Amino acid sequence: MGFKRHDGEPTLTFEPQQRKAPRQRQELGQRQEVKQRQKKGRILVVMALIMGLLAWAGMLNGGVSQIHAAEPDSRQLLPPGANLILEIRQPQIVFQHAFVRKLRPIIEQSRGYQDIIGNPDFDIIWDSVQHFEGQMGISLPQIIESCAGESLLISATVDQPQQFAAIVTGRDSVKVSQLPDSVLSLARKIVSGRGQNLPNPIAKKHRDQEYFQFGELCYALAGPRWLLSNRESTLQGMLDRLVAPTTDSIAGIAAELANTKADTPGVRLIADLASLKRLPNFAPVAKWPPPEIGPVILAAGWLDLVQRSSFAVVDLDLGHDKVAASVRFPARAEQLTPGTVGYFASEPRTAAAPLLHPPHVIYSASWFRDYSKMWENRDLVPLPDQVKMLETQIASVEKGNLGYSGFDMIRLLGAHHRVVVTRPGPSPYRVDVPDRLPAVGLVLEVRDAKEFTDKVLAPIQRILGIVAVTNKMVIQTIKHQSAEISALRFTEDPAAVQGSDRVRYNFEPSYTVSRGNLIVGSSSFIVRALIDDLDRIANQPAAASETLATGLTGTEAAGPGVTEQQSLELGELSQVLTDIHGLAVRNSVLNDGLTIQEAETELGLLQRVISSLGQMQVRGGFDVNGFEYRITFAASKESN
Amino acid sequence: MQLDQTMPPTQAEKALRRLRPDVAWTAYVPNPTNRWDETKVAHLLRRTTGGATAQQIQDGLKVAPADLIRDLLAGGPNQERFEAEIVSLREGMLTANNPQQAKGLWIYRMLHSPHPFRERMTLFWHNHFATSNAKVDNLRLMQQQNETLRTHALGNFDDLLQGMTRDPAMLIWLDSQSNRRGQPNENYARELFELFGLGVGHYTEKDVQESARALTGWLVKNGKAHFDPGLHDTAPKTILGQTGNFAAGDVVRICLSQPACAEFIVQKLFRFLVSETVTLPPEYTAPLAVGFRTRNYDISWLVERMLSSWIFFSPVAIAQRVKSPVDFVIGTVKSLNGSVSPVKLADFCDQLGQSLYYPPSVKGWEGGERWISSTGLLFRQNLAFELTRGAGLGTRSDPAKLLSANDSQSDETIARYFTNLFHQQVEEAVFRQVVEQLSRERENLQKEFRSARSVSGVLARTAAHLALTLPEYQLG
Repeated sequence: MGFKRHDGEPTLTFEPQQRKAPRQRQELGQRQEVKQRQKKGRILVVMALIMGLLAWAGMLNGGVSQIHAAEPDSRQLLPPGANLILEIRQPQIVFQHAFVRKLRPIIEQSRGYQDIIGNPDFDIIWDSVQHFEGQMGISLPQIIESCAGESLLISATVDQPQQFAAIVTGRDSVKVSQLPDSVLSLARKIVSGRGQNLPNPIAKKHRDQEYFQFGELCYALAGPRWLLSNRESTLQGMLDRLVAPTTDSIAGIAAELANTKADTPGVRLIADLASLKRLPNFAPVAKWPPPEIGPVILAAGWLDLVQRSSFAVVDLDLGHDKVAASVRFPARAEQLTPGTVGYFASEPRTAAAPLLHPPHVIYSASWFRDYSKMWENRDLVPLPDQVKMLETQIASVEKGNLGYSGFDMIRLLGAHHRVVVTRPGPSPYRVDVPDRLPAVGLVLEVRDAKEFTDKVLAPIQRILGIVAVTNKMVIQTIKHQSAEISALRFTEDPAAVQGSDRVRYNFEPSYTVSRGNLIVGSSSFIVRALIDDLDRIANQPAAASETLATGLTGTEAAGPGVTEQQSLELGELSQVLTDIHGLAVRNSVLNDGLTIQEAETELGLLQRVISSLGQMQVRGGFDVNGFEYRITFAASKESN
Repeated sequence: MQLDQTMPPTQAEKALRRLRPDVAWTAYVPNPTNRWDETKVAHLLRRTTGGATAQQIQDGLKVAPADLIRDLLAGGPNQERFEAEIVSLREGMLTANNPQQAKGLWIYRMLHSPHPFRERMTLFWHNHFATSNAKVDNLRLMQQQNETLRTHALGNFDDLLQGMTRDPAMLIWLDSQSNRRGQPNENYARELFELFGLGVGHYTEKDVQESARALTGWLVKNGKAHFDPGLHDTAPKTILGQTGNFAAGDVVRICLSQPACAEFIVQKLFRFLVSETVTLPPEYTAPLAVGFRTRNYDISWLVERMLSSWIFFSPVAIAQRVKSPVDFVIGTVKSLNGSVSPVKLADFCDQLGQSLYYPPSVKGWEGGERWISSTGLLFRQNLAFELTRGAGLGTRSDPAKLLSANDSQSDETIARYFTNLFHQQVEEAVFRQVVEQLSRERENLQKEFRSARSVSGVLARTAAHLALTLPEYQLG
């Protein structure tokens, strides 16, 4: 294995010539070391290999319409009528990506990785890799770059008749031309042991272009391209477009594919929702209204997006030091299906509240959901009987034991909801708890704090009193920044402590209604921290608050249309492993069978892996192009 | 006690008859007709550590028997570090108050302690002073007792018996809490004589009653043994022929002064360390019992004499014990050089009837042939399969990895490796059957697209599984 210069960038490649060097042949130890390194490197490329083989052995086919271009690129060759198109651009990036470069040396030290390397069950993978390397005369990363370095395109039509087409576009025509024979000879090796024989491919011609038929599979080689399909006519169509590229304008999902820069490494999957929704298996998901009221409450907005969108695009961008995954629906906010308004922040000037950022925050989420508005518009959902039944059910709790109505609860809840997880603060207990669990807090907007306190909280407090007595808990009142926090604490008398799981002393359930929110936390500490953070955000100057609202450096503010934001600080998450170090070691030792030293090592590696990933951010909402839900991992700068 | 004359003598009994009592306990010295070979090393390691890898057996061959036994008694390096690491695990386990984790922690110690023989002796004393958490219901006290057993496991029986008499878990287990002046509870006094110190026939009912009075006043307070003088019976008592105003310590002292005490412990240890199939006649136990007593009940001296003796390395002892569930799991995992979840192993022991910290009664586990039942064998086979299939529990106890040094191995080599590893003594006909089975499997495997190493790996798993499920493997 070695590094080879490519486009000025160091490229991780295998060098079979180095393995054959006389000096290495002379020394057994060195050779074994090289062999071991080869195996380790190969693990990283196995996924790409399998992907290629799957494409070859796939079952479905599909296509796009016409493309403008004088020189057809691979996308222009795709057959029309596909329901799904998958494009993998520059798969060799996986060897060079910052995450891989960072994580690989850490993961290679782990026990789990060593177990895989030492397991003879995985030999079939190494043997297959060896087969390809031997046949092609280059290392596997070089094979991938040479034979699929530009892209791997797969289109599928899942409607009857099922079709698939694949176009593997490499950078070296000679190597691409060797690929079909290599794959076939491996297939022959696999089946020959079972006493079976594979037929030879039958050579055919279509307008002077040679292609081959192998069972139902047809394939052709065209320069750096390997074209495959399970239908002869589809392959012939691809060959036609190769010779005479169509100049018609592209439409539908192929147009979306064309919007992606071909030189950006990544993966794009485009689904033609318009055609998929006509399929019997898919129809119930796309139907509005769904047959039950439950999905309306839980997923009205998502159902609306699927219903209104002609296609959906899933992207995986492999940028230099980040990985971003997104799903996009071209459904704009203005034409929402009646009855779904309120599920997303779809109206002007509505947005999720700023993310909270108390000290040592691990995870923070904020989402917009206006249950009150959804309730007001319930008659617009064309499920009158089920809506009526729901009303009856909600009304049944009205003025019952709690003394308030379910309608009151919905009406009093605001549209902004936030969750925060932080590292544990100081314990309110004297009992020594060796494993400190993270603290969790929930902030729910209430429309009228006084009415909420009187109508909702007061009855709940009465019930909590009974719960506290039966669970040997005491309720304490803590004052903080004008807020009055109620906290339930477990008793600490020796009899109660002994014979119980002390993990419960991580918890001190607390709540308050303050700053227009119901704040609930697993400890009074996090409730206090949340109050402080709400004050901090409220005191920010208006201009700055947009940026600071997220509470995270470099995070975009929650502008209009943003319906959900999440942030996961993986550096802090890795520190949780320190807080629960004893618990983690104990579990690794007693449940996973590691020794104490091994468990310490593995936990250290896990901490390094997590902190290397830096930060995860999620953002979902409407913009001018439709609805996008995006997850981004950015590598931590300090460990770059 | 004489050898049973009504039944034909077993091989072990015949072997015992060939050893004169004055020779039986002298130190075994290898000679050309009785060599220090793999069978003897593996036998010694099985009895003292639970099991051994092929490498450990080979290493043992390079050391003289006496030196190896001395090393086993002393334990390996880094014992203090290991104990320090265990403390935090134990505290966490106690915080979680989880009995399965407590069992798992002890299994972990048996697998990884640098002093495995001490763990094995701790298990022996756990069965001797059988105390169950089913009644004590306090893992901290059970752990405390376990530590006391461990501390004295190879120390002094006098200290151990005194410690157990004031052990909080034992006080709860045998109702010493209700043993008070005017209302004596005889449970502990009776078991002290019958099960812990003398054996049936060496004391009277009156001795039990008087001893119970001497033991009054001991309670458990805040998790510790506490003596309340107000509850103690201070009147004179007569115990085993001695009269005085005796207290708990005196009862133990009087018990230990009886010749039957040393004989009782010798017999019980012989059954645990040497043989379950032979009952030693008095002329064989006497030299050890006298020595044990005159050396102030030094347990290390006693076990060293037993382990280094001609008896121990003779057919009297080799493969003359039925493996207990704990022996089975520890031996198998150690031989495979595996890393398996101790909690899962503890679960298996539970299913097989040996739930650590939960012996069935004050008599402990009866052991011997009682461990063998149709259900028990089925569970043992299931565990053997789990540990050798290369997945699940077997991911880290994979026999295939033991052969990974070479890409290709013959069926005979593979079969020999695993039958030697687990048995040392397998009849040729049985061995041939194993080889034939491997050949059949190889034939099928070679039809698949597999490397030579992969084929050997699968055959290694098959061979290990077959070897572990042979009846011979149930004996240790």
